[in-house]
Amino acid sequence: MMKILSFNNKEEIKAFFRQKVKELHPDKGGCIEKYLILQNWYKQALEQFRNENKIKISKISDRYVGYGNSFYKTQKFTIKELALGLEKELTLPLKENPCPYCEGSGINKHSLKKTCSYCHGEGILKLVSGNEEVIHNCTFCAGVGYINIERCSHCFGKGKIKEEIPLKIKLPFGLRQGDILCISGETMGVCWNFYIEVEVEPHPFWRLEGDNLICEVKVPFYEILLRDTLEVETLEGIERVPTGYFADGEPVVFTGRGPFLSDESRLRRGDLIVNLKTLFPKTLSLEAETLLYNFKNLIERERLC
Amino acid sequence: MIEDDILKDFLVEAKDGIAKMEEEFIELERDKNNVEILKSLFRTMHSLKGAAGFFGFKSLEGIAHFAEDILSKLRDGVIEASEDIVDILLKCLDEIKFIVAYLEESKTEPLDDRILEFLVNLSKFNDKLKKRIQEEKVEKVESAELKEEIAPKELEERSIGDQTLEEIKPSEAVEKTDLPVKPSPEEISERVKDDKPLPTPGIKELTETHIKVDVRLLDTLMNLAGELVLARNRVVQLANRLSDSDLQRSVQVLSMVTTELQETIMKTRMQPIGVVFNKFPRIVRDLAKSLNKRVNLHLEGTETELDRSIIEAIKDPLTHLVRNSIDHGIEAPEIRAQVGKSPEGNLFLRAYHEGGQVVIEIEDDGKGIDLEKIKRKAVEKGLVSPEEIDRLSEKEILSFIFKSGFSTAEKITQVSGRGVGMDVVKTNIEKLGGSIEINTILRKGTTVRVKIPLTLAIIPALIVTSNEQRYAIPQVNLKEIVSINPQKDILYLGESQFYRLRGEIIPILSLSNILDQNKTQEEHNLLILTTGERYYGLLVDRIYDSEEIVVKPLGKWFKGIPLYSGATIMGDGKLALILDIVGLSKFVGLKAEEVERALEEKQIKTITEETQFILLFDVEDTTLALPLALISRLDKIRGDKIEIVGGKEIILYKNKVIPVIRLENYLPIQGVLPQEEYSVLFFSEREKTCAIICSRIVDTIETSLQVETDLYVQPGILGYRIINNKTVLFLDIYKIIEMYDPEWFTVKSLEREGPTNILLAEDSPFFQNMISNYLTQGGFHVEIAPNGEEALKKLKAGFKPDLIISDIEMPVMDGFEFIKELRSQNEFRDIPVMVLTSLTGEDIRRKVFELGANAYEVKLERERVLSAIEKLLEKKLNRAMVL
Repeated sequence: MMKILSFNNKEEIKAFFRQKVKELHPDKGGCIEKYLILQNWYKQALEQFRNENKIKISKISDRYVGYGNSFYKTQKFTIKELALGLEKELTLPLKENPCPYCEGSGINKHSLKKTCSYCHGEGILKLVSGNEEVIHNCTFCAGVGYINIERCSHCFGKGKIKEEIPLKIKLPFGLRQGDILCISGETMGVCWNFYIEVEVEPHPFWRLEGDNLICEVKVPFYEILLRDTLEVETLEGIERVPTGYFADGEPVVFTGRGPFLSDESRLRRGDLIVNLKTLFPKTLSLEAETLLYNFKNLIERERLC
Repeated sequence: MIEDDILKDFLVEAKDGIAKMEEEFIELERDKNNVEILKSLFRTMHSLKGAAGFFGFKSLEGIAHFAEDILSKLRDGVIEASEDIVDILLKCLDEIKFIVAYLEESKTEPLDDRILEFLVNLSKFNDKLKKRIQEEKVEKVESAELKEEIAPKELEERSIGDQTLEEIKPSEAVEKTDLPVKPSPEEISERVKDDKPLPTPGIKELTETHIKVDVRLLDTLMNLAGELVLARNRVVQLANRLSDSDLQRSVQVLSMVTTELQETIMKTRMQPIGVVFNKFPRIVRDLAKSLNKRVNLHLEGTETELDRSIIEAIKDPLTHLVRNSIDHGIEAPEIRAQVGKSPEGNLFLRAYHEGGQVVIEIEDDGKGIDLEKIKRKAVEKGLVSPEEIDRLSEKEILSFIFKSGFSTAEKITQVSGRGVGMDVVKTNIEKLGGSIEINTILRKGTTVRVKIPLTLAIIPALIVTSNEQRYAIPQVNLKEIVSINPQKDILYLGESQFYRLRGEIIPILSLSNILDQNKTQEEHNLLILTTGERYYGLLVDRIYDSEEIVVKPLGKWFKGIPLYSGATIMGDGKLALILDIVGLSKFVGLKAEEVERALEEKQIKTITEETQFILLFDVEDTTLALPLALISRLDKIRGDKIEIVGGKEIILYKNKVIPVIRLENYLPIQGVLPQEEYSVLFFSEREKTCAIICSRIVDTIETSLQVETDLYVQPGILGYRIINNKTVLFLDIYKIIEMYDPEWFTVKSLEREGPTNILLAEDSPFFQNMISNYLTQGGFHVEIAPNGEEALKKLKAGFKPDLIISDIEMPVMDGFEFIKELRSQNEFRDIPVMVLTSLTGEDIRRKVFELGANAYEVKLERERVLSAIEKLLEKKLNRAMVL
């Protein structure tokens, strides 16, 4: 049976299912067992895609930010996370709860109280109507005699508090500095959308440039000649590159080893471009200089030969 | 769905852009080297490309990309705008138009070979251009030396003047190589061979869904609608007088159409506040970055609609407040982490309707405003004297912030703290007829609340009269109208009037009273009004119709009067003032001084902090009360379970013989009549339990233990109080049990020489009685003082107690101060002090011990209190022996 993940969307699964049904349906002379397996697989596949689609994430232009209620934050991402579209845990206000400190009333019950100005703190109103006296529970302070004047300091009197909950999302491909991720609140069950601006965490020797990942390798000049290979950190890990590749001074390009570019064509990737930066000592001892001079002569002589 | 909304917006924008570019191309044909137009064209094309890219409209993006590329070359003066170039640009525009029109219909891009071919052609054309430029360059090299002096300067200007140039360059380099819809090389070569002329795009007109209208035109329309409403009102009145049915009918139609027209015009002016709020993500992000802070922004209530003119005017004040919040409110991440907050600050922008007004809140969870700092600053600036400052309320102190030139920022930052601002913010908001208010909690955050009127220029209102003068009351504030009999229905509390509306007591005002007019007639009509927070009633003479009125602002000489919010012209051409319902509500209730005076006269001992749960129960028709904490158990037993053994009533409960106490035997109340089932309260003390029989349990309430002691002077009763219109007797359970069995509490006590004196400082009569009762039972002599000061007086007068027991919450001098005072005086230093309170909490406990108390007990724990007393006295004895 096909692996579910090799499909990009529901439509493709449906199409595949329909095609297979034509072959396997018992009415068409197919094997019942195989047909049932197909049915089962189809159910699972749809379920899986439903879960995946639950969180709706899209990349949008910042001109379209802020439709309706929204939550906006900037989030740091590493270059690796962006380039490979990894999973990232974000902490987002995904729930709104009644404030636990004031039980949703918005009032600080344990603080300053003002004597109720209607009943003078008695909790009851002794009213006179004609000659009759009517005693009534004070309606302004609900009979307690005082009014809380301080707002709850946890929810600032709103009675509600947004709760921050960690959420794992799979990053779409092709995110760059300043891009904005939009997570639709509808799919998260809240009435605000989430906008997350991408901030790229600076990396000591990587940077994203257009579709490509640029990697700078700093090596002392003599090491280039002495070593057979140089260690280059690629997105997939450390790799050894023959030093000879850098001989003509041009950057070495690893085609298709850069960041993934877009969700539509998952196979397209940018390039990894390795720039070699040579390091050299600021001063040389006399001995080293002599040796180096000899070395230079030797090289030139060899070339002449 | 967001996408749909966004797409719609994109299309509107794209259509605007296309229209603009069309005009500009025409302009360009007239003046081929107009750099300004080229720049503008480039920008429009660039943003179109960007947006298309975000939506993934590849062919649109592709066309826009090439067009932009060509335009950038024209703009930079690398090539001249020759005929063929303008031609191809116009073709681009046609294609873009076609695609956008298609998008609007089907939401996807057209899959058309023609467009693909056009793209290929474009790409070829672009390459051709490049070659042409290179050739020109080679030619120019020789003559370049002459130009060199000017060139660098030009370049510089360009890079400064047009930032988009820089933005675009890096990405350009990449996109050139792999354009989204790049056909395979074979395809290209195939097509090149054919090289047939391209078909022109099918002409498709863009349907206009939006047009731009001059705002002044809308304003004029609005004014005209207002005049129309006034004229209509006049006609309606006239028609009513003539009572011609034909006329009436047509007037009715006129009336309806007018209303609808006016509502529609009003809609053109209303905009969601999101229009302003949407600017803030960017402002907040940039500010936070420049201040090295991390700020999350929450936008709430963005759909709240406001008049366009207000939206415009509110922008700057809001920006200032947001800047303030980020600069002064929210702390740097390190500091936030230190005080246990999350490193990311939260900023809320919230809008909502409240009582005919729009409230905008700017809230941060930063460090709050330090009132002490403001006080210092205010004194420093000479705004207030040091003596006065301590008397000011929090609100008054915060109002200094709005004084011109007042800034507490220690260092002046680029963002805020220049000493101008908050005063300007306040004036601007007040100019709109709004108000501003600050709430702050130190170390927790600040909320700035801006209230703005909707200023619906035309509002429905109820017309009422007082002394033949007409007033308008906005319909939004009106809840209902009641006809009352002033003699019977109005309740009085001193001078204030109240009315009982379905069980709720609401305060009422008389309009003639407030306007200081003589009452000419009884006011029978009561309007129930709401301010959004509270209800109150307004008595008026007569009620007219409900009418749509046109709000006219009041002149500045009326501004200071809180009663009026505007004026309007009535159907007969006369004026009526519009009452400000919120302003009126300030007359409701007693003034603060009045309350204080009343309190002084009555001398009510308010001990609001000391509340207890009280159990209310009935013994036939008498309601009695006991602190719930004294009762160990509540249950019901059947009548036949009560047995008489040895002349005493007992019950068997959980295998134990428990004596039964009938309260009527000790108190002058009617006894419990025989019932099938009785409620029983169990009372336990040192393994001994007794049961009290009652008819039924009424309720438990949380209340302060204030009791009146004058009426019922009776052993076993501590006092009485009116609860829910019923007199409730507070029971002295210890006394009752003692009356039942004098030996009940007797325990082998220490041999003491002479009577032991205890000074009890306690303000509540209830506890005075109860505690002194059980102390007396324990063989102590008790002297009572109602507060710390009285207790000190007693001590100074020569009373020498062996032990002092003090409450904490007391008027005049509280327990803390009393103990401090005691411990600071030599003669009283050695008297043991026990704190007896209903306040529990580790911090209070610690505080009393720090002050020098020797013990700390809770009031209702009789047993523990007694044993603690024994212990204290023993210690004292031991110490005396050692000495």
